[in-house]
Amino acid sequence: MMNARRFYPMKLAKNVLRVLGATVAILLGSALAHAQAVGPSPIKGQTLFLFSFIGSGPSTVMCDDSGNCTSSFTGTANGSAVGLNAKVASSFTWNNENGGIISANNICYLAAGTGTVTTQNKGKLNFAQVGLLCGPLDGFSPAGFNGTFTVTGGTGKFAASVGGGGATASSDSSGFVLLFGEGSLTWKGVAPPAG
Amino acid sequence: MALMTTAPAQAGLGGAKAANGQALFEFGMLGSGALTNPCTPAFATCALNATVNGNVINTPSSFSDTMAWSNDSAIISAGETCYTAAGNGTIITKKGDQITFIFNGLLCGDSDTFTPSSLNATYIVTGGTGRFASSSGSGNFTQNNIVVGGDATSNPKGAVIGGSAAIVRFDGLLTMSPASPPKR
Repeated sequence: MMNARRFYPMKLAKNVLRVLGATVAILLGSALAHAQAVGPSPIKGQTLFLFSFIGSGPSTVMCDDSGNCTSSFTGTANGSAVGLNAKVASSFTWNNENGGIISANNICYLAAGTGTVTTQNKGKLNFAQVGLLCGPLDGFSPAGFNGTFTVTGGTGKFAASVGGGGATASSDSSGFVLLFGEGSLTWKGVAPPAG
Repeated sequence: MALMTTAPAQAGLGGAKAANGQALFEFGMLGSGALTNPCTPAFATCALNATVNGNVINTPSSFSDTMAWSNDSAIISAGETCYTAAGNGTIITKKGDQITFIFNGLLCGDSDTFTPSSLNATYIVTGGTGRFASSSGSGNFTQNNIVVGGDATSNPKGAVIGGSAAIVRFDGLLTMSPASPPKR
């Protein structure tokens, strides 16, 4: 003899609501757990948040007869605010014949330049960077950079952004660059998820 | 709104003992505020008063620093000028506990305008008061000096200002008593 099962539409609706509520709570909790850190903003109407990114790609170095050198880098970057697979391009200039700081068989030059990060859908972020570009004294080629980046504006979501922080980069003998930056950024609205 | 006061770093890695017997853990801080002047060579010194959020210190806390440099220390290249700058500062938590620190690093800016400029430095915690009385620590300290447009009114809820301002970021480690930072 089979048990007869009765259909209770109200009970079913309550269970569905419970499941939906639990799902929303889990999703909300997950979002909170990954919310980006924020601080008091210097710009009214904009949120200041922790900003970090990593990137990599090839670079080339060109020097003229006067020792003026330029290193150009293009690659991809992932990070908070810029998302995944953003295109990053930057260049440094320095002079190989002036102002080198020599120590421990290495030489460091003050190098500076500009760059852009073009995201998949949030716009373009412009920045400037300055710091020490170091490498071997004998047959110098850029091996490491330690400096700062300063956000100088952009387009889209970054149109009124300010910010900056620390930047480091390394380059192998073939010129392949690994890039890391961490600091702060502002934009209008809530902080993005952590990168 | 709780999100808006989330600290820049959670308690993070920790547990290793520092030389002072206290637990060592990650320390992060982020904020902004007003500068006394644009930190240009014409002044050769500048001071910052900011509001910051961070783990350990809770939110909001007040931050102040003063730095100075010699214009004779200039390193000039690629249109930029950098000075070796040094200074000291204090972080005061909402409960009144203080962290004192010193720092030194490179202050760089455009050779013509020097605005904006950026400081890439190392901070060293030298002590404090309250639960930071025996603290030690160190890490990276960046200060981006900018000029903010618009009116010069202050926002009492934050550090919104007009004129010369700076964004500060600490990223490093700290010890404190008790052995671990309080849960937020």
